[in-house]
This record gives sequence, structure tokens and C-alpha cells, in this order.
Amino acid sequence: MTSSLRPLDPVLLRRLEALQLAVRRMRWGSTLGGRYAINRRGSSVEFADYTPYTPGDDIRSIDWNLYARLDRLYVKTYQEEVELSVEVMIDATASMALPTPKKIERAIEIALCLAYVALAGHHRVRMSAVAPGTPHATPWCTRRADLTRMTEWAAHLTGRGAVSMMEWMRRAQAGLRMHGGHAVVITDGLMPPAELFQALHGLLMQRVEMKLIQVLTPQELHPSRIFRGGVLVDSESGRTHELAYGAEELERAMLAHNERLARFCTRNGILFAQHRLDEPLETFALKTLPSRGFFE
Amino acid sequence: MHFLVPLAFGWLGSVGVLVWLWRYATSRHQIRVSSLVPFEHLMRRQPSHRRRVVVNWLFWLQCACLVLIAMSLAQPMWLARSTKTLLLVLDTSASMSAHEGLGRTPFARARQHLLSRLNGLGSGERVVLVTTAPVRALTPEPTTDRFTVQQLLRTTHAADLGGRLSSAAGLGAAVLGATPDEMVIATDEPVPSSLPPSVHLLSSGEAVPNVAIVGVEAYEPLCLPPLDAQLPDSSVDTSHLAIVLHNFSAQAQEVEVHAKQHGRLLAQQRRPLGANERGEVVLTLESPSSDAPIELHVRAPHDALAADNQAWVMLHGRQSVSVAVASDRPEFVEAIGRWLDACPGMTWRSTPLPPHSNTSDELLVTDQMSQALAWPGAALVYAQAERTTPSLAHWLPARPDGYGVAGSHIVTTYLRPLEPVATAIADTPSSGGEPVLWALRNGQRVPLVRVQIDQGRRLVSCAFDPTAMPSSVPAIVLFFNSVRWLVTSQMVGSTGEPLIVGPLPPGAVRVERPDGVVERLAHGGGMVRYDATDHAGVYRLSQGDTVEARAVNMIDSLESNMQQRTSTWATPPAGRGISSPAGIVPARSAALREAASPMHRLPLAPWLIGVIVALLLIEWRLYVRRGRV
Repeated sequence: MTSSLRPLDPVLLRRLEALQLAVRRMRWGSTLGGRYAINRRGSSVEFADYTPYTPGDDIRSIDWNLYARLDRLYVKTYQEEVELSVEVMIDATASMALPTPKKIERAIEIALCLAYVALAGHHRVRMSAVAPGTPHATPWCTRRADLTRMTEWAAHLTGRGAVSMMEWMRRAQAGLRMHGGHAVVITDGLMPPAELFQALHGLLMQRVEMKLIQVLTPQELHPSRIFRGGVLVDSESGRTHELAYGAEELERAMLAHNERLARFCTRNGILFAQHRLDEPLETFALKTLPSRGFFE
Repeated sequence: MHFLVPLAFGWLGSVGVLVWLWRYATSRHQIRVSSLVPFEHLMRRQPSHRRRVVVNWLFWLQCACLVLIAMSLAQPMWLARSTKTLLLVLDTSASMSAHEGLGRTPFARARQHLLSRLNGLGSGERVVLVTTAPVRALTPEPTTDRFTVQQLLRTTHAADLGGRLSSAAGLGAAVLGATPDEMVIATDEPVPSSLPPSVHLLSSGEAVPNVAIVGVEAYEPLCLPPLDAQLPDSSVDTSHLAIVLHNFSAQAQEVEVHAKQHGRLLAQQRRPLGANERGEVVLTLESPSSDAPIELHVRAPHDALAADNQAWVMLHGRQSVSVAVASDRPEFVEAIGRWLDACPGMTWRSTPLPPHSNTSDELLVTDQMSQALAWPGAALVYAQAERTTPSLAHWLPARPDGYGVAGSHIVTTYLRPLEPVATAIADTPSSGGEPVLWALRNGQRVPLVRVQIDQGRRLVSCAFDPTAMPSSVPAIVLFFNSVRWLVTSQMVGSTGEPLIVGPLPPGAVRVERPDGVVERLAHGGGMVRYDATDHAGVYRLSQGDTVEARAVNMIDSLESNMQQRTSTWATPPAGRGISSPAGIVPARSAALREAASPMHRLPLAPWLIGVIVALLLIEWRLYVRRGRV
């Protein structure tokens, strides 16, 4: 159990309520009843906008007063609120607990922030953990009070073991019945890029709108602080190597790996944000994520 | 910088061992990292050999420690010429022991002054410590070890001697080999009017009243006239002690004098002395023993110094005086012999030149000054006839100066002033000694008789020829007065003057001092000379069954006068260095001083060890912070 995981600050929660999940396009899985407002010719009572009349539109929607003034036909459109399905996936493999367990704790906190924003927008939220074994997740939650249940569930995540992201996604799609909706993957991204790309691509094929948040510690961004001689042991694969390279070489390698992730996300329309552990959670959730398009 | 053990640098090879140990530790130390995936392309490369040892601050700290340890083992020494020389002069004369009330003494204050000065001793500053009484260097060579000098100060005590500041300063300068950069004198003497800038005189004496014995003369029952008309006729069993006292105070005092032997009171007398008055007390001793000294004690209501309140006198108890007459003129021997034959208490012999002494008590009468100076005992010297001119001169006894005492020297007792005497006076007046009798001739004063005490030996030199006036009453009286004064030298001695006894056969001589210390002297035969008479009392020199006792007293008016102290500092002439007992030590040039001053060794190993300890502490701290402990 992650013993130092604390509930989110009530002040932060109040500020998160003002945010909404940003949605680029509606996908299958959105149902009526949520708070996300889209402009659609629907039967909602809340007027949204005028659109030119096209044959086939409901003539009851024609604004005759406007026609009298402009001698053109316009149809009223109304706001329709839809409910989104939001999957929040947290990487809980061994790499997330190194070099410090605070990394997975921060990942969990970010996941809870995202979940709360979705719950506050009356969306369905489910949280799952990328870990060895059978994929398991929380049940779908729709109320804000469900955040507590999510917090208790996430507190058991410790960052242990190793699993192929691609393999896990495959099993999760089948086991958790993922299809459509939105998905946010929170990981350190320290895995073979091809493996991650294939996992994300698989979800994209399922018409899931993807967002990726990479959580790293300052030491991982400057590896020379950790790699100070000795035999390095990969926490997930168990591989060893006597790495003895200059600080610049190590940083360049890490930078190139992260840029590759970012480029893949950009090419594939996946929102990407990188979080350094020394950045305050409030700053990341309230400023960085909205600036990256995660929230509105 | 020099290294005493250069081979110790071989320990630098331990750095190689350190590198190997780091390499070994690196190969054994495992670091779990989140992932090696981002570095796979690097892992395919073989890292260069030189990068196999990853070093950090800890490695360099350990390297520095090993290098410093190797340097410490090599015992580095920093050689530098000493920056400053300091001469400390401690006045250890008798007056420093004066009690000034509340247990204070000038000596304690003077010693504390010097101890305080040593506390502020700079590194590399060389110190020489000398005392004034006796004039002696306590540090045989300049030293930078202030603890040793402080210990010497604490174990030094005042002596029963007079001292001379400039003599001690000269000795110190001689030990240093140059004029010191700074001189600190701790004394009770007043600050002189002119002192060099580098000399700091710390005067710790106060004006205190004192009554002192300033002279002792013992007269044993020989066939000699009594001392003065007030005394009853002397008997063969009676001895007389003439004690001269001085009241060095601004108020009159009633002084009590008593003489004891074996704890038994022999005589006592009371006498009032006015302010700054000198007076004489004569004690008559009935049948004193000759196997123990006579102890004289003086008591006065206001008295600061105890050393000058007592004296010892050794009475020999003999009824005769041994005299050796040495001259190459038969008429001289005959004239002196006739005088000596007039007194049964005197036994005499004629000895050829150069005369040989049978005992240290034998008195020499001669007309050869050189023989008198070489004589181990007391001597009476007359002028040689061929160097004299007869004249009718008026004899005038000299008055002692300074104290207004009526009378004259014992040698001139019973001589009437301005008595005309036909005298064969030496053409060249003698020199050396204090003139006690003048001859007025042709309107000029000529010193006729001089007395001196040189290293415990008394000498009377008469600048006239006795053979020209063998029947002259004044000459005969003068002769016997001189003999009396010369004979008492064996009974009363002064501190600082050597003791001469013997002759003794070769072998060790045991010396028992008044302070209880027993010394052994290696003696090669002949007369025995003992110089360390710095304590008043009775000194016993023995060899086998032979025991010679000598009394030594602290008789020094300068030291006893603490009402009006006198400075013994003599400013050397301009351009000269400090005066030394052997003469003037010229001020050396800077180059000569530079060459004479030894190199000062500053060991660096302790400093290096301190740095090593600091580095180890830093290393330990780094290790704790890195969580490796």
C-alpha cells in the first residue's frame, strides 16, 4: 500500500470543479445525460445557435421571425449534454516506484484529479492499473463522492512487477470491455517505445480518444545523478549493465526517448503532457493540463 | 620545506590501491534503476577503459587523505628564520624577597610579569631567560618552548645576593649572539632615566623600611689591642663581635642584636637607631666554642628583609695566626719578623719566592704585588724600597662616604689624623682597592693604604716601605690593624664570593650548603674553590675526616636599602651593544645577525593530521547524506 497517499486537498478539488474535460470529437460511448455540452440539433431546451436551413431539417426548428427580417431560412440549434466514458489507466509497474515511490504516488494523484474533473462533469469514470496479472479496475463511478472509493482503491498500488503495456492493453480491452470513450494513460514511458506505441495504437483503433501523461523525476531527466558507477539493474527486465558514460550522453539519450514519445503522440492526435515530480500538483493540474488541452 | 623521512612518499602508492578498490566496489555495487530502455543504444557500445572507474567527491577526498598521510609520514619541516628574539631578565637579588605586607614580595610580582609576557609569546619567537643573582642564563640557548621557560621561572627563587641588571642583560645578549629585539626586565629597582626603546623595565618594588647587618668583624683573643676604649681589657677567653647595623627607614627604631651558639644565648644588646642611621654594636662573647658558628640575629619593629637580619661567624678559637713572609730582601723579612715576634700569638715563617701556601688560613706579607694576587688567602703588600722616596707626610685616615659615620676603617684604628710620619712613599701609587689612609705630601693627597676584597680574599696594599721605618709606631699599629682585618676574612664571608679551603688531597669533596643541598665536587688536589655561595649560612666542605666550615653572610647595603633603591642598569655607550660581564658586546650588523640566528623548525605534520581529520569528517558526512552508512 502506498502509505503516504493522502486525499486530495479540498481547495484543489473546488478549483478542479471549475474545469471540464476537453473533448475533441464525440465518439461512440457518449450517452445523453452528461454535462458535456455540444452543439447539436437536438431536443434540448437550451438555445445554442442559428444554422442555415438544409433540406431535411425539422421545419419546426425554423425561426420565422428571423426569416421575416432577413428573408432567409435559419434553423435553431440547441445545447445537448452528453455523458462521457473516461478510462484512467495508471502504470503500476516496478519502474514507477524508482528512483522514488513518490513517482507512483504523484501519478495516482494526477489520476484522481482527472477522475474528479470527469465526475464533476457528470461523466463516468473508471480507474485501472497497468500491472502484472488480470487487469482490474474500479467500477464505473459517476458521483463525486466516488472519489473516496477511487482513492482507497489506488492506495494499494505500489509499483511492482513488470508487464508489457501492449499485452496489458490487449487483455484490458477484452477484460474491461474498453471500446470508445476517453482514456488517459499515466506512465513514466520508460519502456520500449514500440511497445507503448502499439498499445496506444490499439486503443486508437477502438476509437478511444487518448491522452498521455508522462511522470518523471528530476533524477531521471538527469540520469548522471543516479548512474554514478556500479552495475545498473533494470527494475522490470532485470537486465544489468555497467554503465559509465558522461552526463551529457545520458541526458541526451533520455531527452531523445521522451521526444520520440511526444512526436508519436503529436502525429497520432494524442494529447501529451510531461510532469516533473518537483512541479507542484496544483500547478500541473490547474495550469499545465489546461494549457495542453486536457481541460477547458 | 624539508622532509625528514622522504622515503615515506612511497605511501603514495596507496592511491593506486584506492583506485583499484573503487573499481572493485563499482563492479560489485548494484543500482536498481527504473529502466535502461532509453540507454539501449549506449549499452551497445563498449565503454572506454578509462571510464571504468567513476569517481566523485568521495574519491577525491580519499585521495587527498592518502596524499596527506604520506606527507605526514615524511615529517615535513618548515624552516624559517626566527622572527624575533626576546630576552627576559629576572632580578633574583636579595631585595626581591622583601615582604611588603599581605604576603607580597617583589619577586612574586616580577615572576608573574614575565609569565604573563610568555603567555603572549609569538610562534618562532626565541627566548632567553637570565637571572641577576647569580648572573646566569637559565636557558643555555635561545628557545621557542615557552612552557619550558615558564617552568624555569616557577622553579627559580631569589638568592641572598646582590645583582646587576646590565651584567645579566649582557650575558643574555651573549647567549643570543646579538642584541635582542625586545628585552623585558622584571626587578624592584627604579626605572632608570634612559632606557633603549627595546628595553621594557617592569619595576615591582615599593619603598619599605628595613634594618640590616651591613658589616661584621670578629676579634678573637690574640695579642691584639681591644677594639675601642669603651671595652674592658680583653682576655684570652674573650672574643668580640662588631656588628654594623643600618636603619634603612624614615623612622627611628630600637634594634636588638643577640648572639647564639648551640642555641645558647651568648650575648645581646639593644640599640636605638635613628632614621637612616648606621651604628655599631659590639658583643663580647665569653669563652665561645670554636666547633660551631656564632649566630647573630637582629630584630627591629619595621623590617622587610630577613636575609640581612642574620649572620654567621666562624671562630677558629686559635691563639695564633700563621704568617708567611715572602721577599727577596732580607731586610724586609727581618723588619716584618721583628714585628711579628713581638706578639706570641703570631707564628711566622720566611718563604722564598714564589711563596707556597701551607693552609688557606695563612696570611702572606710580601713586597711583591704579583705574589700577593696569586696567594690563595689574605695578603699584606708593601712597596719595594727601590721604588720609594722618603718624605715627611701627614697621615690622614679616610672617612667612609655616604653615611656620616665618625671613624675610619679598621685598618686605620688608633692612627691620629694628620700625624706626621717619616715615610718612604712609593713613587707610583698603588691602584685597586679603596684608599683608607692618605698621605699629605707637598700639598698633595697620595693614597697610602688601600683595602680590597677580591673573590673573598682580603688584600691590604701599603704604598710605603716598612724597612725604612721599622720602629715607627704608626707603621706598627697599621701593621697589626691590617693583620687583624685580614685574619677575620676567614671568619666572615659574603655571599657571591668563592670559598677557598685546603689544601686537600685529590678526591671527591662533599659540600653541605645552608639550604640543605649536598653537592660533590671532583677535586684534583690542592686548594678547593667553591663558587656557588648564593645562600647565606654555613658551608661545610669535607673530605674524609677533614671538615672545613665557612660562614657566608648577605652583607650588601645596596640590596638592604629598600627605602631608596638604586638602579644597577648601566646604559652602554652610543653605538655599542649591551654591556656584558666580559666587556662591551658590539652591536652586530644585520647580516651577521642573520647568519648567527639559527633556523626555526616548524613541524607541519600536526597541521596535516588536522587537515586529514577534517577531510575524514567531511567524507563521513557525505556518506551519511548519501545514505551509505
